[in-house]
Amino acid sequence: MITHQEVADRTGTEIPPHLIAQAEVPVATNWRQGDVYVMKHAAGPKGTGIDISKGAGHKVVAGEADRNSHILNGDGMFYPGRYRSDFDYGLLIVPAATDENPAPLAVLTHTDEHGSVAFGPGSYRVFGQVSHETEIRRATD
Amino acid sequence: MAKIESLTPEQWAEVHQHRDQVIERCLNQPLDHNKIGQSIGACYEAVGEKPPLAIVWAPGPVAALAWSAILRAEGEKPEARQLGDQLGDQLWDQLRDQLRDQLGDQLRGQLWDQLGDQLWDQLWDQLRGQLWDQLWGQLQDQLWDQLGGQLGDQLRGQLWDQLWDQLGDQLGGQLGGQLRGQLWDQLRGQLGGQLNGAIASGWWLTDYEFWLHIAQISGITPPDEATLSLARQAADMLTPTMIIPLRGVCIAVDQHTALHRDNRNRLHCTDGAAWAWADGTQIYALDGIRVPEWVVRRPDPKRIISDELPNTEQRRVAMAHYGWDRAVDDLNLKIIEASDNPVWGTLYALPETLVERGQATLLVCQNASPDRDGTVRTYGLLASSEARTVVAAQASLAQLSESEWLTLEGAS
Repeated sequence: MITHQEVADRTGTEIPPHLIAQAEVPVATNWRQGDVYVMKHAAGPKGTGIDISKGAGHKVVAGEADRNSHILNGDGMFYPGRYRSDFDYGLLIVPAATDENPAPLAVLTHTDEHGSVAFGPGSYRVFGQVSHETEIRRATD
Repeated sequence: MAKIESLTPEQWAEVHQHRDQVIERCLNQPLDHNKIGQSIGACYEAVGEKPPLAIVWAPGPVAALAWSAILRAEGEKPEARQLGDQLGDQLWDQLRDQLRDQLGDQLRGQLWDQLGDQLWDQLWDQLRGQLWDQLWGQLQDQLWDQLGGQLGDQLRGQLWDQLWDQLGDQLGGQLGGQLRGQLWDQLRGQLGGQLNGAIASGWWLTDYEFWLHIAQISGITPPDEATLSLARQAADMLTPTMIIPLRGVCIAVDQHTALHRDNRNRLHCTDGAAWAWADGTQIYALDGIRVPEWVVRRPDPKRIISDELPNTEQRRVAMAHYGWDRAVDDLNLKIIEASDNPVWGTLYALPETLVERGQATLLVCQNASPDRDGTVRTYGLLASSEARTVVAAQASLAQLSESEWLTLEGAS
């Protein structure tokens, strides 16, 4: 576990005040944050990656006016694309530990109701929930 | 001549600014009647017609169609030509075809070779495509569908009297009163036909705005000033949601009184009409799906699952608006399996009137984290029709096997 304060310090993100009470952020390998899943996945990256350590991170799912957005921050790269399913957002790769950064972590935060979750070194498939309507489609909040 | 292959970030910002200004002008600002009127006159003259004697501002689309039908019928009667002997012929096709001939070929011919293929694709996507989507795909197409199906209903009763009187006022009482009683049956037959073209302004507009922006990109050799000026006039003429150009008179629809969209720019309002005009024309919509008024104002789960709503998309958005968790109790839905963990949820069978046969099951769950106000949201998800357990339903939402889904360490 790490704390929300550590997440805020490391990533420069603001944690929604009502989630501060959840002082600890789980470090996971397979997790669901609202309608976004992050699961350990052995795959090589495709295309050009996005450095999630830069600026405010990378919005995996961008909501209107910064509401309801899922944002990756911290250490690592995000490679948008399809890795198993049409509902993939992309592949997250968190680098191995080094002397300079002995405990790298990527953190998935949410601008509204969902708590944060952190991921250690490895590769992860980031994908969305579906809805079984007349055809299977990506679920929308 | 070297083609322009890319734009600077500043130039892309100008593209986006142009797009936003067009949307603002068409949807959010009061319409500039004088400017639009002058543009209509210029476009009439460009295709060899006299400028209209009057530009009539209709309070909404139904009024515009009704007035058009009235004026056309009036113009056909020799004894009722108070507005002159040229009233009433539809000019839409003439305007569309002749302006396209005059402008389309010149704009394309002058500009096409000046940009690289990839840049055309990017501009098409960022400017024309997005304008098209917002003005036509999300709005005018819906209006077209609604009016096509419900014109007769919209005109019944008091609305007809009101629209007749308003048109008479605008034209100085020049309409023959004896026409009123004769027109109703005739009008109902004509109204649908008049839709053709009248609401296509968004489609046209995006085309002209697209070329006009490209013509002003730095380094481009633009078409001649007369072409650009006419293209500008055509785009301004098409600013209203709907215009009906007739010989002698042009009917334009004034700005709506309400427009509500969701964060994907789809028509959406949960407590009233999503799009409304002063003539009483209203479109109710949820998540971009048009629904009857009662679905928004007086939702009733029993009516929602009945045949009153003709398709499952309407039933789905209607039930989501009502609240799946409320509907579960009201409809006494049959439980397939209930988990002890409210985040995993309870799985229900859905009546076949609500979803297509065997299409889905309903998983009602709680969020794993509280909302900002401390409440925990309950929501319904459409899971696989084959799910017979909560785990199977959850796995189907993630497109995972049950064993894969069970490796999730948690949710937030």
